[in-house]
Amino acid sequence: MSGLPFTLNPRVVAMLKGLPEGPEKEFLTELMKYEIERHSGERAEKRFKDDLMKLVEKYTEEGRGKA
Amino acid sequence: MKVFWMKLVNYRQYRGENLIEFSVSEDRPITIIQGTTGAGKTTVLNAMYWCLYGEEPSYHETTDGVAPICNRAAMAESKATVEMSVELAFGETEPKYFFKRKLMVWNLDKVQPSREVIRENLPVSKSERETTIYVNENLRGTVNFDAWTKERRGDVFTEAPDYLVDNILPHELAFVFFFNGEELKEFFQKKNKFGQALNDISQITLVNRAIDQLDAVGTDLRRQASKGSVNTEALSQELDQIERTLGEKRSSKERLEGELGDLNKKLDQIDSELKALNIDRVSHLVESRNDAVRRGSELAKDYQVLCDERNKLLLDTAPPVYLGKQIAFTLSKISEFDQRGKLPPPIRTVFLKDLLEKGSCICGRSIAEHDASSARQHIQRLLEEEASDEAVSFKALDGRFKLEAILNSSREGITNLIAVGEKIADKEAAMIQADEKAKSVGKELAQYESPGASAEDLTEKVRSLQSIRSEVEKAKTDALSDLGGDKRDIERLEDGLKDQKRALDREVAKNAKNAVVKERWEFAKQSLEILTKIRDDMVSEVRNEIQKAADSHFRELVWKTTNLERKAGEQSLIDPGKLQQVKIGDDNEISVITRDGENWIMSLSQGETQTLAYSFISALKEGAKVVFPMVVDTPLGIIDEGPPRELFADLLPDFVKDTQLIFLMTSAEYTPAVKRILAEKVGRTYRLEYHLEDGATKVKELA
Repeated sequence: MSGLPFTLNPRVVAMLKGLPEGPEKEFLTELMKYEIERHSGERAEKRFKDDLMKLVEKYTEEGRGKA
Repeated sequence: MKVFWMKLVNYRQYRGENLIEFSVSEDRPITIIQGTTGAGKTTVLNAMYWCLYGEEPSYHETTDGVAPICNRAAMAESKATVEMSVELAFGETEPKYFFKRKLMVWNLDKVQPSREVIRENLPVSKSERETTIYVNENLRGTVNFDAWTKERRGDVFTEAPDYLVDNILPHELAFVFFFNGEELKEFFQKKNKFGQALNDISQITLVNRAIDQLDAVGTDLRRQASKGSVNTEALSQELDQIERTLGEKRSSKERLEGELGDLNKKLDQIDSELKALNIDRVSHLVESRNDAVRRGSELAKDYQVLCDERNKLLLDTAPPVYLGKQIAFTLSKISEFDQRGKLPPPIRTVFLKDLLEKGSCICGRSIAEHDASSARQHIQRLLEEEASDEAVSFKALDGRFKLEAILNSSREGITNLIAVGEKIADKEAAMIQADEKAKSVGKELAQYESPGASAEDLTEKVRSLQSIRSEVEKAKTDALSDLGGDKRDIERLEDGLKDQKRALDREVAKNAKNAVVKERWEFAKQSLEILTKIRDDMVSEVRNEIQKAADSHFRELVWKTTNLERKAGEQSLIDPGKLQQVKIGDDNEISVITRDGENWIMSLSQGETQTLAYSFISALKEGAKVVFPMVVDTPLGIIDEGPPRELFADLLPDFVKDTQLIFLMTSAEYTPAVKRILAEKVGRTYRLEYHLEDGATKVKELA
């Protein structure tokens, strides 16, 4: 979480931090990082949906492993 | 963050280069830019906005061509190209961040060898961030936007200037810092705009985008998970269809709400034009129609509340009324049992149990457990016989109380229903009366005959304005009706969507083939729910913060406004002592609630309304948690001249403490009295001088 730049509303950061530990929390934090990267032009718009799909796959897998 | 200076080059009326240095002192945070109408006050606000965001909030014609934005005289003089630019310098204690938006205008008529060659060779940047092209028949322009910071070793240009602007003041928050004082009231009266503002202040753009993306990924996963089964595929397709229709209805609702806003504005405009004719009778009619419309809209709100109350009562009362006969029959049966001595109460059982527990009869004979006497056996037998009857009697007793309570509540419900029905009828009658009053005004204005000189002219004007108004009113009625339809459709579709999603969930669960995809879909759905809740919680938190801050500002300042307006002879309808709360409703409607539960919003005077508007802008500024100068066009324009305006001038710095302020004022606003009041806070004053001969404005700093 500490890596999130200031463009993300501190309220969102606090709410994400407050989530119970688990794959959803990690996934959503990562997702918001992706959004910031897209907003700043670092992440390509075209690939965004594919990137996000891969992220869903990764964390679903992780969730299964933990379960 | 403070703005240190702005350089304008050939921007609209500002021909050549003009530099405005703003006051950055903590003690004197105000810069006054004074000028007559048309001299270029609003242009200053537009120029700052255009430099940062590439658009002008008060003009909309720039996309039609470059001509309106670039100084015409400079263009006429030029051989082939003209440079127009706005440059801004920001920083905390000294200028550190610099922004320059530049427009190069190419006049194709003057270009040699041919316009075609130029058209083909004009530099076009591949990055949309840096360059936009405006095109019209004869002119073409390229816009460049640069941002740089002054570091120790000199200028450091940033690759993404828009991103730098966004970090200083996000575009969606700009409306809080750049606004027209005369239009502020309207902003807070439009709940859609205000709702959007709350979203913007919450800065949830990124979260909303993430929600949209996650939703789209979820939809893809759902489609994949639905493959392979006729049922699931069909359900998924139906779901897509419902979502599409819902999207269309929501867009249509949004469009209609926008249209209604415009139509209301048109109606206000026509009323102002009618009043500007200075005919007493016409002004009186316009006022009385406005009163009737206001009353009608208040009545409609009360009517809706009563209708909701009636519906709730109907839901609660209808079942017992419907089953009234059956309930009465059951009660009569219970009474029959009662009369036959079976009921109530089961004292015998309690008495027999007590005897067995004590182990002795009332006559003193032992019936203890170990005695196994015939007396004890007899009592035990009696108790068993009673047990079956007892269960029935208990249930019957309990049931009798419940049924009687239901019958009583249904009687009470009917009485309440009748009372609410009567109130609804009263409201309906009052609404019809208000509507008829408004219509009668329309009728009188449509047939208006002006007495006196230039009568024909005035008669024609009044009639023609009224005729346009009737058209607008009709369009408004149609839009309202369509909007109602859309709202009902949206509600129905949203319910349908939920049912359809549940049905699909059940079907997909049966289809084990796509277990992995289903698992991903579940994960995306779960994450989407969490993120949506975060978004909603945040908006609600911000709404509460804004409400609290606006309430506190309004409480603090409305006393002064009301008292001064009273002294100035204004008839104020409110008593600040009775104020309970300034409230933002769930539908983003602002109300001012009294201790008696009344809503004063419609009774506020102009000064009080403006106080409320500034209280909200101040609260929004605090909520935005951004430090940025405020640029206000005609901050006092809407306030009556004389003491109210002077009082408001005195209040203005209180609304936005610790903020650099740039006020763009007319001479009528910046009167000697206002000047005296603000004197200690003003650091720099400029006068905009418009020179007719060369059609250009020059900025002159006053001592």
